[in-house]
Amino acid sequence: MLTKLEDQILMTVWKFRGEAYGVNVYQHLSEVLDAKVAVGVVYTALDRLTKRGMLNSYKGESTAVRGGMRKKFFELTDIGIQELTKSKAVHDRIWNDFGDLLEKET
Amino acid sequence: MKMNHSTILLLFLQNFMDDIEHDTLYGDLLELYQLKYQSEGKASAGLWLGLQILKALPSFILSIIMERLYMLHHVFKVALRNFLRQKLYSLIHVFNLALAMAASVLILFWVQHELSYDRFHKKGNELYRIVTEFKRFGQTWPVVSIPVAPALKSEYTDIINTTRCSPVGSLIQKGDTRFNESGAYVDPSFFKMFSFPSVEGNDITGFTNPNSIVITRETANKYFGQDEAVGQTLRLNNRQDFTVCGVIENIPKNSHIQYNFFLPFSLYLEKDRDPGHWARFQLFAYIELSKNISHLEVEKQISNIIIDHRPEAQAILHLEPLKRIHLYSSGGGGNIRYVRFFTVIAILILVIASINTMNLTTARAQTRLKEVAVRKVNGAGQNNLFFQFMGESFVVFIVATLLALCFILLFFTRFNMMSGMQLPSPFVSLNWIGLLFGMAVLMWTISTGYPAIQLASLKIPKTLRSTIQTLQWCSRGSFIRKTLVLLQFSISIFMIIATLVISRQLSYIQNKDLGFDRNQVLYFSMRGNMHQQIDALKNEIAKGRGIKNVSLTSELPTQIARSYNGLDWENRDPVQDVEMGLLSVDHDFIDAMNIKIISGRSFSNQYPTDTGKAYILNEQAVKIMKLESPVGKWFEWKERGQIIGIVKDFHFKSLNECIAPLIIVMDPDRYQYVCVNIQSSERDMSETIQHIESVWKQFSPDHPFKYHFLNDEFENMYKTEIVTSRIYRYFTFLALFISCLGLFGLVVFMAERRTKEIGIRKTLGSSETDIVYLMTKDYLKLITASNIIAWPLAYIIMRKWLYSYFYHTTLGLDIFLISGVCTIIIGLLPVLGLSIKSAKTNPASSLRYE
Repeated sequence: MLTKLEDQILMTVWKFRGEAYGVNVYQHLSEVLDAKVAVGVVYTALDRLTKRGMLNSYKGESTAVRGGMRKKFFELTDIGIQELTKSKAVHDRIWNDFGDLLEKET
Repeated sequence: MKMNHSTILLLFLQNFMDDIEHDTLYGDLLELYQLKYQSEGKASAGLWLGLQILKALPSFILSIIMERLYMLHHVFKVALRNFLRQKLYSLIHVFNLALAMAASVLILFWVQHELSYDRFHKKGNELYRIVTEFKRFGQTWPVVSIPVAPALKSEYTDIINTTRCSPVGSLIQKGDTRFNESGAYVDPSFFKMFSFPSVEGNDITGFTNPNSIVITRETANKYFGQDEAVGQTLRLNNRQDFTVCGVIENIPKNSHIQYNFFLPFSLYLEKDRDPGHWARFQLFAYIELSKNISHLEVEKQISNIIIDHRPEAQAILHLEPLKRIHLYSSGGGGNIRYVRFFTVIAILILVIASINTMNLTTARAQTRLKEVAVRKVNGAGQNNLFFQFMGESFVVFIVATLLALCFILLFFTRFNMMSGMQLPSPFVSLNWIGLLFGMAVLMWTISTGYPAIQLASLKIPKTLRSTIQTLQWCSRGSFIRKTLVLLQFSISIFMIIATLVISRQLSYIQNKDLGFDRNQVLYFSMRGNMHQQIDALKNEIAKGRGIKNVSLTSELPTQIARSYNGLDWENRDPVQDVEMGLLSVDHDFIDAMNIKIISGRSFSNQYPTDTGKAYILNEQAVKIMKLESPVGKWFEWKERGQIIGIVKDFHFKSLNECIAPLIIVMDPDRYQYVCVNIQSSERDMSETIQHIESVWKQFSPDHPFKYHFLNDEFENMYKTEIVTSRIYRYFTFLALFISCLGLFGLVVFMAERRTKEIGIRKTLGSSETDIVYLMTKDYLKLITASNIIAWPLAYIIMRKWLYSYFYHTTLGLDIFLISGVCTIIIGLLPVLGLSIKSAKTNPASSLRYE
């Protein structure tokens, strides 16, 4: 099972398609969640997901920006995609039951 | 770019994260920081960065520790295995270190005790003792006359307090309990100046009335047991009752002031014939200066105070800081030279042990070249290897330190007895454990640091190929090793020579013909009514069995302290003023003591004028007086009389000083000691002493019988020297033993390494003698060379030491030869034994070795 945050991070990584690294994942999450997110949270989550095989990491070339430091990029693995799909299915099933409520409201 | 706090933070981060693993993270942080900087401003961005670092710190540190711990675990496992595998080597290693550390700590106990004298006084930095320099004979003694201290206090505002202190021995009695105690007359300010608190912890305010006495806790217990002592009375000298007005805590051992009771100084003044006399130097005086004044300043002002009152006294005052009394003043009991001397010895022993450790480690390191190479190939860095070797010897050091701890506790009492000192128990203060560990860590870093660095920085190809280059490294190592062994043995040889010289000088002093008999002479100080019945006393004692002679004297012939000036004699050069020692004896004394008369005659009963009007001088006095054929000439000390005889010079002071001029008179008022020459075997001795005791009881029933032997008294004068030489001897042998231990370790190792070589040599036809020679010649050369280094050094230093004694033995070549032969024999014995053993091994088995 993925937590909500992991879910969101996996999706964010997918969103950037191979360009995802710590800073933009963090920024995007902060924007989407519209709340202050601790940097550390993002990094530990990224690490954990990599260990569980859902993400793959590789180091980029060193560039002139950011003091010549390389970036560590992340991309979704097949397992990651599977897990994300599973998560989506669970999500959908739960939301199905919740459909009545939404209808009532509207 | 301007340095500000966020730059510093970034630099800090960079320092920790600039490796392959973390550079991406660092980059991310940098970028985030810049984003924050742009959107929220510098201050907020800096704050954010600082917070991030702070938050990360705990886990960061934890991860470092975990990583190290894992490495340590590995290092210790390997170290322990090595330690157990090489049993002999480890044993030598551990014993070498433990012995050296234990010995140094024991020595430093003593040193520390000596240095701690008089340091417990709260006002210690402001207290000084007044000492007087007597210009006339260029000597300084800590005595002053009665009026000095009060005059100083009233005339100088910088002198806050003064106290006089005059030692006194009294018979103290309470009911049936009575003892001779030593005490002092002191001014009431004594207790204000020195920190001798009362048993209740308050300061003693002083004496309540002229008949009060202050005693120590121990004395109070002796007389009153558990009862309250204050308010009770004690009877002194069977004459006067004193009320105890205060009980002070026992005076610490490390105080130069050691008295059991204190009496008001006013009593002393009452008894003194002429308390206003400026030039009768008879007591100690201490002063307290105000805090912010240099004592040299004060010294300059007061130095002439005696001369101002009595110009002829030629005495100049100096101030001696309280803390220096024990070690720096003559007759202070301690001697700073011995303290320095032993500190150096402690350090030398540690150096010898460190050298052993270093040698054994480098020697053994050679067998591990392959191991190092394999470790390096597998990715161990220099740091890892360095820490591995350090860790391995750390195990050795830990075991050694614990063993040293046991040694210290085991030998402490013995050392205390041997040194004749009463050192405080090691459990009183545990500082020395810190010292021990400090020592261990220091030796560990120095003696293993160098080999570990060497070993860790080896290049892989060189080590693996194990060719000439490796051998070169080995030979370099062995050069250093040889130098160290050389140094080690030079130190040992030096110490042996010093031991021999010291003990020879001591036996010279003890056996020197002093010019009088001091064997089997019992003496006691006259008490009670004895003075009035001198003749009866002498007769009674002489009746006993085994008693050869009974005679009376004013001072013991081993130490005549009193001296007088203002003497006159026939044809005296009017400007000449001589100070001479004075001895007052009865007519039997000179014969009884076997003092030789070289011209004239001795005192005799037949001439009534001999009492008070006849003088006997020693040769030195005649020489100074420049008198030719002195017998028959007139001489004047108190009364004008005749010189009736000249005695051969005899030593009446420590042999550190030359013989001074001496006058011998017959003045019955001055008799103080009864000397009894005993001529009886050891067996009858107790009977003779019992007889003397019964006579004592008869004449002085109130005083406990107390006697001494002149020879003991004489030896007491050299107690420091005797004790020092005894301690010194033990530590010399220890140092030599440790040196040999190291050498033995090296040889064991070499023999092992050369097993194959010896096997091959033997198969090729070399004889056992050849092999023994092959293995020992290096060490023989080394020890011989050490002798050559140590001899001149020892000669210079020991010559200087010997010449500090006025009467001294010669520094013969035999001392050097003995020490040389000694070291060669002791040093080579293990080498020889081992090489004979390996030379005798069957080559078949030694070739199969490995």
